[in-house]
Amino acid sequence: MKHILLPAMLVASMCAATTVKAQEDVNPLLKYISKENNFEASVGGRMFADVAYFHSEWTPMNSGAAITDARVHAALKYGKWYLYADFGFGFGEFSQKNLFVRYNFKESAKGIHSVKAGYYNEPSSMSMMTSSYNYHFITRPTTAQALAPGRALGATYKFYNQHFFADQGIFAQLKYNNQKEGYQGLSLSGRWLWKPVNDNQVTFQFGAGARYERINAGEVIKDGVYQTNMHIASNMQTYVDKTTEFLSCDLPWAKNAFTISPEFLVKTDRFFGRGEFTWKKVWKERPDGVMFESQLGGQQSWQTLVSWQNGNPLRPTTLNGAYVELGYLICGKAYTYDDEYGLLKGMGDKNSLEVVARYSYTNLTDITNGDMFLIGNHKFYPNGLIVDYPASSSIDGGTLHAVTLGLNYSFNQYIKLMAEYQYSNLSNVYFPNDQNFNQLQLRVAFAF
Amino acid sequence: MVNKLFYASLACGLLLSATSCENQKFNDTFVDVDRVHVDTLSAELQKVRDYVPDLAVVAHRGTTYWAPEETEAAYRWAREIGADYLEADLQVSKDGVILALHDTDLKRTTNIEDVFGERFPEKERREFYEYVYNGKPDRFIDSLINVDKTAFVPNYPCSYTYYELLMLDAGSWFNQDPASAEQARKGFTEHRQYISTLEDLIMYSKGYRLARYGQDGGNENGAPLKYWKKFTDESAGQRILTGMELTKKEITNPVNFNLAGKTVKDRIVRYSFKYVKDEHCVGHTPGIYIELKEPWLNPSNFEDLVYDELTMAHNADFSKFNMNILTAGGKGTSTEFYKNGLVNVGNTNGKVILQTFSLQSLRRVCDKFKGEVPMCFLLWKGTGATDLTYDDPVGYASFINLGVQYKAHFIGPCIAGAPNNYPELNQPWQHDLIHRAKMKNHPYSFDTYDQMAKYFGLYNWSNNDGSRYQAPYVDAYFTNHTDMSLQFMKDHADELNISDEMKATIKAKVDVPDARKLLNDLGY
Repeated sequence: MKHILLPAMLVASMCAATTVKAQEDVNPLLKYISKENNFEASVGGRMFADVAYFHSEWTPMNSGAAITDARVHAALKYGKWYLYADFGFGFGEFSQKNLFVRYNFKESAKGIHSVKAGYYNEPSSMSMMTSSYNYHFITRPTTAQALAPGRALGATYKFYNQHFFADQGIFAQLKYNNQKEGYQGLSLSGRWLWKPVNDNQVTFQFGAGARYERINAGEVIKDGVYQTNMHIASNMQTYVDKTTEFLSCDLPWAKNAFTISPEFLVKTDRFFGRGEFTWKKVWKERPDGVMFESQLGGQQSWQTLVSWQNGNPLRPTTLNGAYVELGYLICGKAYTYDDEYGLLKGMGDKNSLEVVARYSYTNLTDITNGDMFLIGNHKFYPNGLIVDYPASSSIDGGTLHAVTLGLNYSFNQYIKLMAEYQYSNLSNVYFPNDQNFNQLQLRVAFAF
Repeated sequence: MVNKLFYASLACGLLLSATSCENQKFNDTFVDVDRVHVDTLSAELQKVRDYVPDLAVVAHRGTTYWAPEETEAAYRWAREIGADYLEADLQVSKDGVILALHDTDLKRTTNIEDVFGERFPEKERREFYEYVYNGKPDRFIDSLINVDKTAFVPNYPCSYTYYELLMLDAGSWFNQDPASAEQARKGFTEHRQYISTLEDLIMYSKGYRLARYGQDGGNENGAPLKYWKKFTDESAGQRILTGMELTKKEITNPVNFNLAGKTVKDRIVRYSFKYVKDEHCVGHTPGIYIELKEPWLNPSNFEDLVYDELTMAHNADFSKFNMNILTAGGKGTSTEFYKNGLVNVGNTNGKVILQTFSLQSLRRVCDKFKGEVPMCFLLWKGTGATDLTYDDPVGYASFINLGVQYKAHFIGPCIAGAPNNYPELNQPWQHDLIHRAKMKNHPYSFDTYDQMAKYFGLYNWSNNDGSRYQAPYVDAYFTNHTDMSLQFMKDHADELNISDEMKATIKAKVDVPDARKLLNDLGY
C-alpha cells in the first residue's frame, strides 16, 4: 500500500506546488483565488539592479550600474488550464518575454502529462530553463548563453513524475521573427532526465537535452544568391556591459544544426552541484553552382567549379562548452528542488546565506590545424603560409574560461543580494591583446 | 546585522560606480598606438634600408600627369626632371618578356581595340612561331596555336607575345583621354610609344633612349626585320629590333589557368633591342623602383625572372648596367646619392627598390632576395585580396609586422587627397608606428602642393595630434608631379623639420626644369 501512497502523495504535492508557483519567481503578493470557481489570478514583478566593475587588459569594458531586468507578469489558472505572460523593461526597453498557455490533460499517480504552447523557453538546457531570479549566479554561464536556445514560439508535450522528466516540442528556430529576409526555420528540442534519487533531502538526476535546427533566415547577398546565417554569441557573464564582441561568431551558409547537452544535478539540504556539457555541430549549404557561374567572365575568374570550391572551402563547424556550478548553504533552511521543471529552485528562505562557485568554458573556435590569422584583414592562412587568396574555412568566435565566486544573501523570498568576483581568460584571434578579465558584480534583486 | 549588510552592499555598489568613470571607447587609437607591439628590423636589414636616400622622390610610372604612363616619354621626362627613382609595375608577356605596365587590361593605355579587337591574333602568332621555331613542321605550330587559342583572354597582357604587343601604340590614348587632354602632345603619337620592358626602364635610367629606324640607323643584323615589317609599311621611327631568340627557359603563364588545371609552359623569347645614349640627358642617374604584382598575375618563377633580368647579363654590351646588387658586378660603384647636384642613386647600392602589394609576392621576394635588396611593402585599405582592411593600430601593426617578418625595409601607405582621393593610411601615428619598427615610410601618390604641404608638416595635421608626432610624415614618396615635388622641397627646405645636412642636399640639387619646356626639348 505504501508503494502506492508515497508516489501519490509526492505527485499531489507537486500539483499543489504548480498551481501557485508555475515558473513564477516567488509566491505572488497580489493574488486572487476563487475556490468555488477553481480560478486563480496573480500579478507580480521583479527587478534586478546591478553594479559592476571591470578590469581588462586592452579593450575596456563599461563599468557602471544598470537596471538589468525589470518585469511585470500575470498568471491565470482555471481548472487544468494555466496562462502566463510577462514583459521586460530592463535597460528602459520594452521586450516580450513569456506568453504561453498550458493544459494538464492527465494527472495521475504515475505522473503528470501536459501540453504547452506559446512563446517560452525551448526545453533543451538546464541553465536556460532556470529563471534568472532563481539562479544562484548573477548570469547564466556563457556556455548556455551562446549554445543553448532561449525563448521561441512553439508547442511542447511534457511528462514528469518523481523519477522521470521528458519535455519535448517543436519551435520556430529564431527567437524573434526579425530576419532580414527569408522565413524562420524550425527546431525540434527536448530535455530528458532520470532521477534515481529524488526525495525531500536528496536529489540526483542526470539526462540530456537535444536540439535540431533547420536554419532558413538570411539575406540576399548578390546575384540573387540567398545566404543563410547563424549568429552565436554570449556576453562576458555580466549584463552591465552587454557586449558580445569577445565571444561571438557568424556561421554563414548554416543550414542544419544539432546540439546535445548532457547534464547532471546533485542536491542535498546544504549543497548543490550541477553541470552541463554542450556540443553543437552546424552543417552548411551553399549554392556553389550559382556562385561559380556568377563569377565567370572576368580575367581572373575561376574556370571550373572544382577549382572555385577549392578556393572557397566550406565545412561544418563544431562548437562546445561546459560548466559546473557548486553551492553551499551557510545559513537558511535547505535547498529545494522543482520537479515540474527538473531544476534547482532559488534560495529564498529568510536570512539565507550561500557561497557559490562556478567554472565555465565556451569554445566558439573551430580553426583548422596550422591556420594563421592576420588581424589586419581578418583572414586565416592555411599552414601559416601567406598567400593572396587563402582558402580557409576556420572560424574563431573566441574561447573563454571563467571562474566565478559568489556570495548570496536573501532577506526573504522577495529581496536578495548577490556579490560575485569573476576571473576570465579569453583566447580570440580578433582580440589578441585581451586575455585576462577581472570583474566584480553586485546585484540587488526584488520580486513580488 | 542584516540591515548593516544591506547598506554596506549598497555603499560598495555606489563606490564602484563612482570609481568606474574611465574612458570606455572600444577602440581608442591614441591609447592603442602607444601600447601596440611592432617588431623591429634587424641591424642588417636597417643597413639595407639605408641604401635608399631620405626624401627620395619616386617618379610614379614616370609621370601619369605630363606624359603617357610607363612609356619612354614618361621615363625620359622623369629622369631629366631630377627624380631619384623611376617607378614601374612589372608584368610578363606570353613569351616571357618582363613588361613595365600597370593595368592588367590593355584597353586603357593602348589602342588594342583598333589593332586586335578581342580576337585571338592568329596571323601574328603564326608569324611569331614560324620565326622562333624556325624549321618546325606546320603540325607543331598548329598545336601551339590551338593551345594558345584555348587559353586566350582578350586584352590580358600575358595573352600576347611581346612581338604582338610591339604593334600597340601606348601613347596616343593619352592625347585622346579627356583627363589628360590639356597635356596632349603630337610627339606622343609621332614618336611611337611602346609598352616598356624592364630592360627599357633600366636603359632609360642609365641615360639611354630607344634607337629608332631612320633616326638611329637601320637593322644591322637583318633577320627579324622582315617579320617586323609585316605589320607596318613604314618602319621609320619604329624602335630597332635586332633579334628574337627562343631560349630554353620556361614560364608557367598565368593565362593558362584557363586551361582548367592543365599546366602549359611557354618558352621565353629573348628580344634584342637597340638603344642609344640620350642626347638630352644632363647626367642624372636615377634608380628604379619596381613593383612585383600579385603572383597570380605572373608566372610562378617571376621573382627569378626579375632577378636574372636585373643583371642585364643577356647582352655583353649591357652587362655594365647590372642592377642586381646581389651578383658580381652589380654592387653600387658609389655611395654618394648626389654628385654635383645631379642624381646618382642609380650608381649606389640603392639602385633598385622592389615593391609589392601582394602578401604572396612579399614572401616570395623574401625567399629570393633575402632582404638584401631594398624592399617596400605597399598598403591599400580595402577588402581585396591583398588589402589592409582594419587600419586601427592593432591591424596596422600586424601588416608592419608582416613586412618585418618578410624582410621589407619600407612601408608604402596610400595617402588621401584630390585628385585620386585614396584612402588615408598615412596618418601621423601610422608614420610613427612605421618608424618604431625601424622601417621607413614611402607613401603614395602625391599629386598636389596641398598634399606636399600636409605631409611635410606645413599645415597642422589636426587640432588633436598635430604636434604629437614630428613631420614630415614621409621618408621618400611616390609622385606624379616630380617637378612640383622637387620644387616644393627646394622652396621649403628651411621650413621643414629635417637635418641641416638634408636641407643642404636639397638646396644643392640642380634647378628643376620647367615641365613643359623639358617635354619640348625631349622632342614631344
